[in-house]
Amino acid sequence: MTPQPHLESNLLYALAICWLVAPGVAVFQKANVDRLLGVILAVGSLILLAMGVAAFAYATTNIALPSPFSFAGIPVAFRFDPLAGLFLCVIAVVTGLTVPYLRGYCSHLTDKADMRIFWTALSALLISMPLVALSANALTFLVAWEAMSLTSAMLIATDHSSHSTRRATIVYLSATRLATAFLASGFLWAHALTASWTFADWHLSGTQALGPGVLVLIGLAVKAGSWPFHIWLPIAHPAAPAPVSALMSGVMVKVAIAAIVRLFVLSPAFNHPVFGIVILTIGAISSVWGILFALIQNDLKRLLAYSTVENVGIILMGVGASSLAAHAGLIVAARIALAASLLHVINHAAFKSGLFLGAGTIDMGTGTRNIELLGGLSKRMKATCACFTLAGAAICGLPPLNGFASEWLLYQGFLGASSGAHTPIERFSFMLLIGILALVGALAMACFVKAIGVAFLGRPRTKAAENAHEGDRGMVASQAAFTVTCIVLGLIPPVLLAVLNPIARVAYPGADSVAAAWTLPTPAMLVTLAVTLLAGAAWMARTKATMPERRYITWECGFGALGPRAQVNGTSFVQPIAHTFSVVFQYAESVSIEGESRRLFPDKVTATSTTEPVLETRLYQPVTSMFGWLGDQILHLQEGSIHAYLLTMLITLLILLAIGGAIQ
Amino acid sequence: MTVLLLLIAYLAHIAFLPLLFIGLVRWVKARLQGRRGPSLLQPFWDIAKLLRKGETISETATSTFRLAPLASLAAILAVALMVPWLGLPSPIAGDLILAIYLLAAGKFCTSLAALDTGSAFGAIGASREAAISVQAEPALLLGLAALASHARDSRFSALLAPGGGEHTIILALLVGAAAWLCAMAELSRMPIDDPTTHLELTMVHEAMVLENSGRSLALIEYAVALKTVLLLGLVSQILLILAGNQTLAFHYVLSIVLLAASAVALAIAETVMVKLSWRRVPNMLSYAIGASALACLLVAMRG
Amino acid sequence: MGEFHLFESGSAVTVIIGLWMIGITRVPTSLTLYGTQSAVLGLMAMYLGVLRAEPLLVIVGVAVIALKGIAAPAYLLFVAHRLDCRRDDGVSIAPPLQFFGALGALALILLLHPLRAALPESSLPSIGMLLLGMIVMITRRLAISQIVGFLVLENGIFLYTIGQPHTMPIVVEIGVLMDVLAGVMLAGLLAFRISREFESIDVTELKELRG
Repeated sequence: MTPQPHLESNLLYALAICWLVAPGVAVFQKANVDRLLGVILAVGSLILLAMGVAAFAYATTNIALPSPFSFAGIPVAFRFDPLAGLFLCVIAVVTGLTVPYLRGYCSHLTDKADMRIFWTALSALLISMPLVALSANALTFLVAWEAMSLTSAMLIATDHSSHSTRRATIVYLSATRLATAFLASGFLWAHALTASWTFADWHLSGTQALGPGVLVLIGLAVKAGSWPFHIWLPIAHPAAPAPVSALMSGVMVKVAIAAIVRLFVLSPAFNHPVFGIVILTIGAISSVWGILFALIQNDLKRLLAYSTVENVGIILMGVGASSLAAHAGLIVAARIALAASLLHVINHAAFKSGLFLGAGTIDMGTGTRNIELLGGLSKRMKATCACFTLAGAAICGLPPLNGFASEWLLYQGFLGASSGAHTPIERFSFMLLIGILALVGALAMACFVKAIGVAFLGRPRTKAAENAHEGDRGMVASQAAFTVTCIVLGLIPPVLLAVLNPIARVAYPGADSVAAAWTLPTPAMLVTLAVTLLAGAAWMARTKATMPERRYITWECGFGALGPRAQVNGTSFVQPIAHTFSVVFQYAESVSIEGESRRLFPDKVTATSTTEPVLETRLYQPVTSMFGWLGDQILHLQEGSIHAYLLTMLITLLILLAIGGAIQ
Repeated sequence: MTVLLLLIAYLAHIAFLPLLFIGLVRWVKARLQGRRGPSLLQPFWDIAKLLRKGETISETATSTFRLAPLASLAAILAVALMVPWLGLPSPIAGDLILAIYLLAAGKFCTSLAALDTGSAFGAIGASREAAISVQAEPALLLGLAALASHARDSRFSALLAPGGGEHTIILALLVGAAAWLCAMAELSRMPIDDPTTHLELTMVHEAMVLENSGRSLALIEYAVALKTVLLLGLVSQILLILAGNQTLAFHYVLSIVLLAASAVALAIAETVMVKLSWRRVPNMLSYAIGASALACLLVAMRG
Repeated sequence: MGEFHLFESGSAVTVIIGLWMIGITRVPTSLTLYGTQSAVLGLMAMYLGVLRAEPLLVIVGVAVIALKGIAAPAYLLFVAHRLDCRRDDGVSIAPPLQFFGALGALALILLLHPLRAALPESSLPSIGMLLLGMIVMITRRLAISQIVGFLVLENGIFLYTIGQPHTMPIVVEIGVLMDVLAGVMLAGLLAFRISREFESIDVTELKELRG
């Protein structure tokens, strides 16, 4: 008996003890309890990291918990394989780096919320997420999934005195109910077809795989936040406290993606080419839809939430392309696309968490998240500005940061698939995907230039922005840690690819390593950039003494005394792009001028631009109001008349007898 | 060893060719307009003058404003060493996606610098630049990707090589047309923007650099000249696919000739054409995307 | 160049010109493009006639260049000038969207190759041209543009006939040409009459004639 299972099960117990101790500590609402809780969480992340590394280093092991932990004979079972290991490491690192942030942020929350519930829910969330990634059978998965959904809902409701937070919690809970319902029915159907609850035993293919596969895919897509099920993301993520949003965006949606990869790509439980096409399509539409809606947001956290939808779309594009390429026999391209998606999972966790923490710092420092009320923060919040700008550059995919690495690899996967595919329409579709990815990249850059430029640069637009204060040391340290991670990850893609190779090899067996696909001249480029920058900076510093420099007001073609409100704000920055894509969000502008003479003596100028979240208003709202209407109709049956109730019972009995007779 | 020679050759050309190119464009434009115009070397004297002057920096500006010109120049220089725009192989084996995204990184820096001064002109210029890139970048990337898919490799050395296939002519012409339109868009040249006027209605690039002066303006002007030569050199290389295989020296000579021809074409376009109304610019850029999509269609149909 | 390659390149060029016309809103420009397209078709016919050693095909090519490439566009330009319609902004959808829609439809036809048994591959460009002509007619509002759309349609049919390995009787070719020319002249005259009668040649205004 090899020692590994003992190591991993010991680590699992240690993790459980560690993170379940936290609520116990949290009950004592003393002054330095926060510090102790932070230490406990940090220790927990280290244990989780060890578990992740163990899953990578050792061979795949299955651990079933002993008899008290089982569902009527089906044991609670976990499977430590490289895919689970990857996600465990991601969860561990993101949690660990967020810990310093929690202390400063929680002191801001204590007057608004009950911190005991916050810490309890947080620890429960942090233990349920790894368990979802590790689950080996459907029942364990569902229990951990439910725990994850309910605890994250509790965390969103932290500041439940505000109406928008309450609404956000309800929307989020409904979305999770839908997800669980679809997942449970899909798993039940798969169990009926295969007579087993363990994922590794499911090898459905052909038309058998379609039914359960579609249900499971819908359930997972709702939680991952992909179009058309993404509408809960921009409502729920902004309402949660910043570190919780960071965890949710950076890690929780990734757990859903891990499940998609496990069930549809790695020794696929549901093997049918149509799934590749469906995942690819919803991924492509999510990415474009998400970034277009992110562009028009002025609430910083909503903007970041829509950007998560976009990145989830990019990841799903890679997963779908990988599955499709594998079905067409293009193994090399399939492997590269899969490695690109997993690399993007890692990169997105790094920069999105950093960005959300920055948004939280701004919220704390100025009291608002609306970028149109901000401006000039780079002078008062220097560290946050630097971290946010670098993380923003990373999310736009600019070399040499980490976002570029995964996007380049994805391009290579698409190019390989389009050169190798056999039918013209497949070749053209992959090339079209290259175009879509390029469009998404350009839109993302516009979006983040707007966010960074309007919020941090220029002059402060309101008193709140003028009096902004930087977050405390812990908050800045967390953000800096994430930014440094982005920079480091951008310098080591071949190493990361070598790490991802085992997963790609499980999905598509073969000898060559994915790391060989990395053919970029990164060292030469870095040397060129460094030499130019250093030489230029040195020259400018040397000649500074002889060159007079004058500080004066902004020239602005001689207009002079324009106030800070005359600057461009978020809405005007994106107006040209919004006008081009006006069909997507029903963008409309109207200008009305009132005054003695409209042209010569205007009194009041009103410029309005309106957008409409079309999916919400045209699809979801009619459907939910239809349910409301149905409810109202059914209300007629509950008017308090005894005869109506007896009649209902009689009819139900007759129907059941009829069904029973038909089944006989 | 060859890499070192190529590096020296490229650096030598990068030092002189961009400003000479701009000088040629202005000289031809002047002659077309019936003037004598400035000498061919005038851009050199302009840059030298700017380098000697002190700067006036807005009080609102921060270190972003100071760093951006250098950062964007570094990015464009790195791309200039990666793309074989001279007709000779490039010292760094560049990849098309890396080149386009590095240029985007340069745009990121200049857009942030434009927003840094709190000037509405700069911000409008930055927003228009972003709106143009939303269409021009996918068009360029898709066109080059069609060539890359045909060559099965995304490095410039492979995709600019004259391959076989009967449809190379139409493919090269389509991708060249798309690349030319994208180059005009990215460089803010006619008919998208008039580089000589400073009216708010017509400015894209000029608006972004309105607050720069002295040395940083010199760096920016030089960076734009380098980007011009780079993108038009890329267009020439795409068109030279039609010329088939030749010796290195002949290829180099043809590239220089095509660069000069594109300078003349640029000058003629700026004299003859009328600037497009801003609302019609997306329509024109959709032709660039259409040309690239057609190139992809051709490659998809013929393998 | 071999016959097949010439035919393919030529049809690719004509389809590209047809696609270009979809995004154009200025009437004189679209007429010039139509003239260029017909000229390219005429040159193809002449070259194919030389390759297949059929002098009649060469004559038809010359006739096409002269009549459809020069005379018809010139006449329609004259009509447009007299009616003072320079710009045709089209029906509701923005020109870039029309352009991409046409491109998408064309891509689907060329890539999916429907009705594979009945249609040989060489006839796909002509079917594409038919589609483009119909899209021009659907997306435009002035009567002049409807005429141009119909002419593009007819160019597609011409492309199909010269692509066939066995020649259609030349008499049929010349007959169709004459019909088209007559049609163009009549259409021009009718446009004058419509303009005088209703003071506009905007076909969307036809619904004002109801009830």
